[in-house]
Amino acid sequence: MLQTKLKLAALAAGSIVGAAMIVGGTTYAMFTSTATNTNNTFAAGTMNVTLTRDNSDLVNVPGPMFYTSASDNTGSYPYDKNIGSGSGELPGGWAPGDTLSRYADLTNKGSLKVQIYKISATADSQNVIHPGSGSTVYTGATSGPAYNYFIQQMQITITDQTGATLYQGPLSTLVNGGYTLPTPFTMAAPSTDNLKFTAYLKPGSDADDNQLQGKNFIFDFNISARQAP
Amino acid sequence: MGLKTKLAMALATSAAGAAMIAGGTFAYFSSTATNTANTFAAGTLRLTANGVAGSSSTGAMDITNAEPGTSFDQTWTLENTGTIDANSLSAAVSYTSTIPSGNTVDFSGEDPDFGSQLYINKILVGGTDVTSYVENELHASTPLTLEELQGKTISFGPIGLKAGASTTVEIQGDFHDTGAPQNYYQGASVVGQVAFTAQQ
Repeated sequence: MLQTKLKLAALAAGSIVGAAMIVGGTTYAMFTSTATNTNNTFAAGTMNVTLTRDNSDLVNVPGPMFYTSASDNTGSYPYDKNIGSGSGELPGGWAPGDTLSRYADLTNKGSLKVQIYKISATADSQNVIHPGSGSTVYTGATSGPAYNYFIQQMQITITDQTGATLYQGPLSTLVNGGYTLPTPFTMAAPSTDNLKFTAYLKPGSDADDNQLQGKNFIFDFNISARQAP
Repeated sequence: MGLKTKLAMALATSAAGAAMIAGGTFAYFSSTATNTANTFAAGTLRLTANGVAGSSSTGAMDITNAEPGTSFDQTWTLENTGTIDANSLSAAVSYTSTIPSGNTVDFSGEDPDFGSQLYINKILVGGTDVTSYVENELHASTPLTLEELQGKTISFGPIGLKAGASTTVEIQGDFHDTGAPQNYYQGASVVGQVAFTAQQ
């Protein structure tokens, strides 16, 4: 009997508390005390990754990896003094069958380690060299049959400084939605990885190739990073 | 009192948990590194023949009143006005032969194509004699006749044309005197074109 009563009591206590919870907002006038722990600081870290051309120049010259003579800021051609024929441009312009390799530093400049997970490219309609008076404007095709053919024929291979291939395929994949790395890799903070970009314009039929003559195609290369797990 | 405190904490924990389960988007930090304005400028390969763009010759050979034994010497100037070097050159020949309807053959089986009587004795590209090269290429006789070039595209071998450079293509030949009667060809003519192509 005692046991039953205790049980009932216990149950009753539970339900009362439960009822109180359902109703909500009941206050009790009881003794209270507050203990405060001050100056708790949550400082957010930073994420900052950059992709800058680096062909072991004597002088660190900013700008795109692949360029034309008009975009040489120093006016010397070619301005990668350590590289002879492997400069960022091809005399006479690109022709089917041409291949060129260029380098860029992927740098984690933030305070947090990052995970590199995606590579993409964006087509630009314009590249303005030396903005202002005396500027040269390159107009790039961003749509149309010649553009579609170019991004399908232009093969891009990207390798990291260990020689591992990050991407190998047509520029079209990078432009249309980008490429998510099957094996994202982590970069410590701070660190730099010297990436090699190789561009190869695969030849096709004469008729298809000829539509590219005299045209410019301009792209940003993007490498996406996120928090490392 | 103890009970209340414990309950309060339990509520707080579950509230936080509920938020984590319910939330679909998480504001992870992210950053994108971009190397901008990589420019790929395609070059050009442009051929002009005798100063006119395109691949058709307009410095046309124009021989009239010829007779067996009359020789001809025709030169075309080709220029690569593009930015890309051409590694090879070729020519496509096509013509129409006309023999006056009243003419009668000198012997049975005489060739009705007047081009058969026009012999190409020498072909020079930039001063280099490519005659044997072309004859071998076509498995043709020596000397070569215009008829054997009809509808054919002939390559001149490993002779290219650098961007900005020009060269000449010269043919020397004759309305050949075969030593046999050729009266069938009196008043005959060939009118045709040579289409030059430069290839990367």
